[in-house]
Amino acid sequence: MKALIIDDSRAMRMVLRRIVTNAGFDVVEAGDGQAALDTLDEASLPDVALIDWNMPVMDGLQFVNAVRAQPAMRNITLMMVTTESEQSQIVRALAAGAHEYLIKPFTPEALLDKLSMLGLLPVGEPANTSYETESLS
Amino acid sequence: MTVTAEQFTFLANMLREKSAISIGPGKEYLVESRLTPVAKAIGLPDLSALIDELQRPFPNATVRDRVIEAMTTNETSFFRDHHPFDTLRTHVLPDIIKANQAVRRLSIWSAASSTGQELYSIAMLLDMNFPELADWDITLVGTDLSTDVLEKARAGRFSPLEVNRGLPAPMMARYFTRDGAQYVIDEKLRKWCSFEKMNLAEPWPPMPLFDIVFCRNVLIYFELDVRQNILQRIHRSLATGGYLYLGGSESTVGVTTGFEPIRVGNTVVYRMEA
Amino acid sequence: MTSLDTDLVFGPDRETIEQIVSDVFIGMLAEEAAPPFTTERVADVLPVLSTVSVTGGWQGHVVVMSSLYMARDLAARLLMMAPDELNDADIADAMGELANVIGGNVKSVMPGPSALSLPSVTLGNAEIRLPGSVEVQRLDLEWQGEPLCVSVWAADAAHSG
Repeated sequence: MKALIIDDSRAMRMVLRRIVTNAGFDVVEAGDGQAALDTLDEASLPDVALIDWNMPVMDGLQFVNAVRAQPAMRNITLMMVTTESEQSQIVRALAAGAHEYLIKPFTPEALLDKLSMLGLLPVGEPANTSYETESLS
Repeated sequence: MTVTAEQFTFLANMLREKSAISIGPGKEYLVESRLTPVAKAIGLPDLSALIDELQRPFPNATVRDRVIEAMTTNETSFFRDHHPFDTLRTHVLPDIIKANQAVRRLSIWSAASSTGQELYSIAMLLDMNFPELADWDITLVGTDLSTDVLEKARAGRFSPLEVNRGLPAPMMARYFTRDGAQYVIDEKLRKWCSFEKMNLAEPWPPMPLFDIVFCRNVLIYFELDVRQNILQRIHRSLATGGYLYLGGSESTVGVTTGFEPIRVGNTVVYRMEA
Repeated sequence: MTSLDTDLVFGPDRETIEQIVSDVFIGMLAEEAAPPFTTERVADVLPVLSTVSVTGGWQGHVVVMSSLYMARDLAARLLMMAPDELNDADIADAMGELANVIGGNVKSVMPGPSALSLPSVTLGNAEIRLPGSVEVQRLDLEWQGEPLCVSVWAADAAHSG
């Protein structure tokens, strides 16, 4: 599984990288929406993009719009990871085509939960365990 | 003393076995922060000493239970483990709805409802996916021992961390309103769900028959005989053909009769047999 | 400044800022609960200042202040690294991100729409100077023996624009 992490904060990229690599993802990083678009290679698209909202050059919402406008990219799961927490912002992002929304601050488990809900975590344990592998119940 | 790799593996295995908690590498700091207070509370200097204690030939069950509780406390969350709610939507509810077509009634009980997320999750799932139930008589009840959590559940106010966990974003957008830094669930759902005080281990007040009971990850804290008794009483509170949800590591098998385990995808549910 | 002018200077209430900072400790710093907030100032001057500014429907600044050790410990916890593995850039970036998350949450509870600046992290020994603004909320706490302060400043309408 491959994750594209888009955030202008190096520290936040490090945090996200750590959480998803522990869960078995390969990671590509970008500091803004435009740089993120430039990384997208049709031969090897990410499975999920974790997208900050407020970034220079191209913000997260514009990135979502750009990706959703391209049929070839329709299988990329788009998750906002942002401090924008008003109802109206969440609605805007979902309307633009984001699939999920994680508010900062978040726990690693919250992120992993969302990835699991989206079917992006390997289904590790047999039916009788509560969680997918790598996540703390 | 710092925790050795072997100690950590022992702890991870014990937790997985006893409570289905899965801890992987990178989680050491979280285990430390949860369990160091437990160590101190029983007079041990640190986590390493606590694990030594757990590894003794005849380990103290109370200590072990406190460790499990420390790792699972406050772990209720919206749509916890999500698979059981998928099966609720795809199999269990359609089955019950069909069975109850004539009476147009549905009752669901969330036992040990804590701060209410489980019952509210059920309410949101019903509202979003089953519009045909709009004119049904639907009872949604949550019970818990603690007045504090009941009050919080009734208020329906949750912190950003709580709404961040397990709750699909479309549901967050649809059913919650921000109030300062908190989120309040819609009044419609708050009115729909009632929360009552009850101790599972003591005599129960009179209750209607339920179509579905959720009793997840609470029976593990009880001794076997109490657990059996509670399951038998749950059996008596279920309508025939009703369903029981337990926690992922729990089972009625070997504990009590009258339930048929049914596997649906990643979940096992227990169907009440008369 | 008349009392009418002070009414125009406002910010998040105490409960809200406590919720935000608590959530940061629990969410990003892997704590079970936030360390208790003190009612007294932990220090008048702290060397590490990480500031974000909000402009728009509400104008103000959010400043996270800490000792050097605290900054290093926060960075270690946030980035999930050992303190001695961190370089100065890691610590600055971590402090910047903390101000960003706290400030971003303050921004979203205040009237909008508004924009959040990039964080600016400085090291020094002077008191905060934010001309045209007045402190409207302040949280002090101690974590692992070190002081931290989160301070919210609002643009003073009588003096700005």
